[in-house]
Amino acid sequence: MEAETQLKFMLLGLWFLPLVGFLLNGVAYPALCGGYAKTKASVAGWIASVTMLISFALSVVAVCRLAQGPIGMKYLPLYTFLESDFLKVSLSFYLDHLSSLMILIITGIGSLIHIYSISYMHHEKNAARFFAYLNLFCFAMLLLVLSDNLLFVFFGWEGVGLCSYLLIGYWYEKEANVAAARKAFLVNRVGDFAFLLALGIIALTFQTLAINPFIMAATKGAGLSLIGILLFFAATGKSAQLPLYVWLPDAMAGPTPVSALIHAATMVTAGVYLFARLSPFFEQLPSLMMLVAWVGALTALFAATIALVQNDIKKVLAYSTVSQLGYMFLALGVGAYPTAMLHLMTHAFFKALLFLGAGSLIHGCGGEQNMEQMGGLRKQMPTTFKTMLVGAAALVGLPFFSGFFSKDAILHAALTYPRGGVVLFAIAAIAAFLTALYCWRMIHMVFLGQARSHAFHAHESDGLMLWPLRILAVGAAFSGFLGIDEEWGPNLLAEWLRPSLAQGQEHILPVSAVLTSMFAVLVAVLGLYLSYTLCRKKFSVVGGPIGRLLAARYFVDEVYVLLFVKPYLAFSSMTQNFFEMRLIASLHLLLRKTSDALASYLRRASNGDLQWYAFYLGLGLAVMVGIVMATS
Amino acid sequence: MDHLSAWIIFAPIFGALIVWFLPDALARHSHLVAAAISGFIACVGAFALCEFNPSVSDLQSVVDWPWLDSWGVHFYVGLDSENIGLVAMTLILTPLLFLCAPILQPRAEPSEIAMSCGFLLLMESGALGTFLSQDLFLFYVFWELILIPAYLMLGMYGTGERARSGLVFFLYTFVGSLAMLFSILYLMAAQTDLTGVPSSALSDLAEIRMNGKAEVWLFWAIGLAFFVKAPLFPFHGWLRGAYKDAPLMLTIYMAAIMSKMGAYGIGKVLLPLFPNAAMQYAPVLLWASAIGLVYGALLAYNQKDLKSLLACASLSHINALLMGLFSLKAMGHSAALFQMLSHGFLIFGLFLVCGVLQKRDESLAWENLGGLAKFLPMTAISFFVFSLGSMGLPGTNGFVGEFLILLASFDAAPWTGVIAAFGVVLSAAYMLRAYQLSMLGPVSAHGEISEQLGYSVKAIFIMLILFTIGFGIFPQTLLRVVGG
Repeated sequence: MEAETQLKFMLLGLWFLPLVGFLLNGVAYPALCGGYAKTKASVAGWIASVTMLISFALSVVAVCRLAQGPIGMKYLPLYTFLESDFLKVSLSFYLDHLSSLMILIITGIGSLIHIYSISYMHHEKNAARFFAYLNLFCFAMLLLVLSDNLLFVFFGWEGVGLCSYLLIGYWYEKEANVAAARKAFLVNRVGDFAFLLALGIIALTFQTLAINPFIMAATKGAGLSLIGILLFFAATGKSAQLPLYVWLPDAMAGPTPVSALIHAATMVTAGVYLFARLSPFFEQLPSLMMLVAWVGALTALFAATIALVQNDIKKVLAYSTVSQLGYMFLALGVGAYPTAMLHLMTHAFFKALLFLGAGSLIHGCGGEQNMEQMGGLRKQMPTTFKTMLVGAAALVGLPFFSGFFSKDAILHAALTYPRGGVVLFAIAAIAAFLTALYCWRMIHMVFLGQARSHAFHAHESDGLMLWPLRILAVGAAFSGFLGIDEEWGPNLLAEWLRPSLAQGQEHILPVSAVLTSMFAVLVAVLGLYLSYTLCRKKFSVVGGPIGRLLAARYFVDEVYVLLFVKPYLAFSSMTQNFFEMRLIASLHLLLRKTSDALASYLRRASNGDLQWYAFYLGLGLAVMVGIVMATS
Repeated sequence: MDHLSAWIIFAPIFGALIVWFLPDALARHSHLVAAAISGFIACVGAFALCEFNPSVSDLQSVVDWPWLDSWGVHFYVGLDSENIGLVAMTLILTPLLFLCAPILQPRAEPSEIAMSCGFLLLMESGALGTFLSQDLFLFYVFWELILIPAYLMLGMYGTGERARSGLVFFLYTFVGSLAMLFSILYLMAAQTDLTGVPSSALSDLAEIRMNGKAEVWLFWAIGLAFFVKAPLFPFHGWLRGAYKDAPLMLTIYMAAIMSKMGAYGIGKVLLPLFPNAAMQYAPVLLWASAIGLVYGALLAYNQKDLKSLLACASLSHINALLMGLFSLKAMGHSAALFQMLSHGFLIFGLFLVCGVLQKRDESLAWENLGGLAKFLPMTAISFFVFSLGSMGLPGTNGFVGEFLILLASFDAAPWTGVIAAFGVVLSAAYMLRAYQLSMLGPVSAHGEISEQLGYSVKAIFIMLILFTIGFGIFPQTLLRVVGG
């Protein structure tokens, strides 16, 4: 009992600390300074970072408690949110093996990115606002993963979306940033609409929104597929999958640490987390699972092709993130939940690393994001170069870097999937090949060759930015060893997560995992080699028709504008100009005409003739007397 | 202390007289006098509200005086779980509104402010009377009472096409009121016929059952007044003009409080009095309000200025709230009551933001706004929080009602539930547009503007923000009381 109370306070502490940071930076500090504009990044940044670091320490302790204690999950009830009719919603924290992994990623990588931001944002005037948003984000994300109730998952879900909106539009004077922020929010809201609807159906069907009772109850019924599809659709919004991925590339308008934290390491994995959390439920819907696998595989391929031709380094990484999230959904779809979570973790390390490295580059080059203006930076920025090389190696999946274990495991799982697994495997392998292509292209354009315009004055970043890079590089290099395939050694992560996830079907393995790994490495090396040759020959695909198609991102945004935005605007203006101004206005006209006609009739009565008035008076009196006599 | 609920109805009328006939020395501060008076009334009212026991379903703080004896009309008022929230909201918002008067109508002469405050005090009396009445005839009297000052204020101090807007407003509400008056008289006569004891108490009228046809007629005739006042789509024709051209104080009162009278009437009078007709026509009305939700949202997106956008947004929200009532589910009913309060406070805050922005340019057209967050940090934060509330973000009060209404309407007719859920996309579209066009982006050509909010306005913004978030996180504190 004592231990339970301690754990509860620990969880509350690690959850509330980012909120405390938010309040300090968002309210107290600017109030003391007299406005956001006078706040300093060093002060605000350390406030935010310290809260995150303590939160991380508490997370580590809490997870250790969980590991020591008798295996089992801890429910820690907090309060009753609402009680109406048949529905009762309470918030409890639910610390199990899945959420413990997530809180470690959120607070751990979150702390590093907070510290990095102190230096990255040091010239910013409104730094307190930035750090307040960042802290608020962590608060919402922690709620998302810790809540045992779907309604509060939704709280976190929309909360992180809100912070994403605020951070993308952090530099709100720029029209483009604001537009990108709004796009991100609205596209996410389309997904959230599905989530909300799913919540509604769940509440009405099962009279509960708590996760485990729902999973227990949801074993049969016609509504299950519908709930599943809606939840998956919601996940495609938050986790930037086809068809709702369009907001993520635009979201790069935000400061780069934001891209690392929100749009690579944590928020965009919320969909993966949700799916894993509800895996026993999704397990019952094999057709939906197949759809998920296909969506994931196609997204992985689709985004990787676009990444090939991007020249903005953040856009390359953004499409790469979409692609890697696709891998995670592929893993989920084929039932390899621990593998998906492994990739979530390794990706959090290496993609955060790559984004922060990109931030370091952008910082060093005075805000330049175009890789064509960089080049030769390995000399000026050696640490950034080395760490990003590690990140790229992990992303490509070179042997023994973290991505090697996680991506190969996904390829392997896809291959063993009985329903069209070979095709999924082939798609994922092609995507892996493309990953190697764009990765090397990025390294080549940025670090190798001759310095181009902006690279002459580039300078290496300071320690506050480089140390997070180094630490993340360690993670990107070695975190994969936690998830070694069973054929080779103990899969620690899978063991750890086993109690929280559905077990998945054991598929008969037609091939050894070693073979698929070797194949994947071969693909990656081939990709790197091809990329190396192409880059040396200064070959560019940009000119050709395919290049143009890719550069235009398959015109998806344009098609969406045509299909959704334009009709919406047309409908909105029709509502105004036709329904409101014609139909409803004609109702006024009718009213006014009638009243005018009535008035002109009555006006005749008030003709100024006293005798008539006397007559009306008498008439009225007679009627009244008549009524009184009739009723009494 | 026995007659508190009657006292708070009549006190504002005397308050209005005081404000109108202030000595010259005080005339410049008439809004402060009005705020003091209505604040005092609120404090007195708080006694009655605090004594309210939500676990008892009976009427509380009852005042029952015979009035028109031969017709069985009583001055019969009291608190119940239906009206307590609205009474509290009216009591709280009125003094706040007066405190904001210099911000809301910065160009008004002192005499105009004094007249307006008096009118608004009369309207407070009418609103409180309407909410507290437990007698249908009395309800009607207060219902009408509020119209006259509203109409006068719109005509006298409005802007733009105020004459036309005022006329349209008057005609719509007049037709509704007329239909209601005749229906009430018919109903009372029928009641006397059936029971022999004349009474117009709502509880007595709910006992009698009319024959089918008469019930349907009465349902629609009485309903018309409520539908117009709320307004339910497609009875909203007066709304845009009236909200836009009314002086801001009146716009706030209409949007925050008067619109609730219509919705309240539907829940308190219309549905209980004519249950069979309600059962029969609720699906139609549910669909009408669902369409109204979408219609208002589409309309809002297309507006050229902030005030009109908020007017249309209000239309959309009120229709969403009516969906809760027309679902005929217990959950929908309490959600609607919850949403009435949320909407009242949120729309107050949003129009107050309009007031701050109006300082520079009365039209509030988009081309004159933009990039103002830089100069108006406090206003921008408040605006943003209220926007989040009105787009139903979890953690704000707007979400709670929206979610429960979604459940109730989905239960009643699944497709309307889908529409209610889709409202989150639509409301985000227009609210973010409004926020962006006024607060974000490049600074408009008009250049700088200084914030200079008084302490009272700042405090009101903070209070409204706390309300928005507080009841978003702890809705049970309110849900326990309203519509229990």
